[in-house]
Amino acid sequence: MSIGAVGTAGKLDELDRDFEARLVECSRLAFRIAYSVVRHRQDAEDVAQEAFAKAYRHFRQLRDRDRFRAWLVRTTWRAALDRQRSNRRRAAHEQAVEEPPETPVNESVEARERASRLWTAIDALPEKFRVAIVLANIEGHDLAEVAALLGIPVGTVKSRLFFARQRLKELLQ
Amino acid sequence: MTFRQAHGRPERSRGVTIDQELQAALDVDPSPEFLARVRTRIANEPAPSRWTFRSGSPWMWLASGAAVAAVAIVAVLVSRPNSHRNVSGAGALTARVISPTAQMPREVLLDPARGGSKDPPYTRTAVAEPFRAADDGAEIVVDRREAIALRALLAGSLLPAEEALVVTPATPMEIEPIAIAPLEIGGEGVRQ
Repeated sequence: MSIGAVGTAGKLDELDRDFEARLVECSRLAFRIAYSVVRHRQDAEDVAQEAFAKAYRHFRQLRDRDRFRAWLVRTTWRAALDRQRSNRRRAAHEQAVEEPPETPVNESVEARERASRLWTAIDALPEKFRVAIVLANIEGHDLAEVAALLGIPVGTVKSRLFFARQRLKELLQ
Repeated sequence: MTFRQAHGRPERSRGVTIDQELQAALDVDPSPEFLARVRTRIANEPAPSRWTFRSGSPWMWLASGAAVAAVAIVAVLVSRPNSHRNVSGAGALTARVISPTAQMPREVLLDPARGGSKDPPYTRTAVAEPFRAADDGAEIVVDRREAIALRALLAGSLLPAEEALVVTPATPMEIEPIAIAPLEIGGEGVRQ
């Protein structure tokens, strides 16, 4: 289903076709970034959807592919952090947030416990280390791609990943 | 080259394990309905703006209002008649001079018996003249009799020359001696 099929006929122009291509290309990236923060599938989809809606409103300035991906990463990350904070504030959702991340049903208790410890350790990282190591472990990003997404030099990405791993080792031991 | 290929060195077995665990934890895909939901949501969004700044922005409205006001001012200035522009241009910086007689009644000014003149002492004109305090001979209307009296006073006399008093030398006065009768005083201690 295309955007033009859902929207009015006037919307089906080059701009919409470009956005459709970006949406197909980056939907999983946005979802995984949101999931790495909120750790809840439905919440992650809501966050990613909001980020794409915002991107559509600013799409004229974001038509460049690399710029769109970097902007989407930052926007999704911030939106996910906001959702995480609001979830923690709401008493009704507090129980769900404190639950361990969703894992396959057939996964062992030991694996669940290990995943829970990993997420706890990642949450304890400073934000700049946290986003770097998350981006480095999704979508097969290399150092240059992580640097481009974060708008920082490759050397900075290397050092942040090094300190993030060191800190995770300490926390998991 | 992926991040794992670039950094999967054997000496970092624990680091690789952490990366592998993280990759496994993040290997989650959205639901099949996710893309459809996003498309539906975007279909309800307004179209992307065609301008650099968003429609509805306060700056856009301010700029539009300023442009309309500027066009209106220019249109008003251009459509004004030429005469209005001349008057306003000439009188902008020079003051209009009105003689002091301007506040007197016209019949007084025209009555010769009152020292007036048949010529109109002043004319109201829209053409402004520069102020000349020294040589414009500002007309002061004074009654003729008052003028004669003032001139006589200034000449040293209140009367005309033919009516002036003849001053004659005064005759010396004869002063008679005053006779004072001597006091008559009775005996000392006698009550009078």
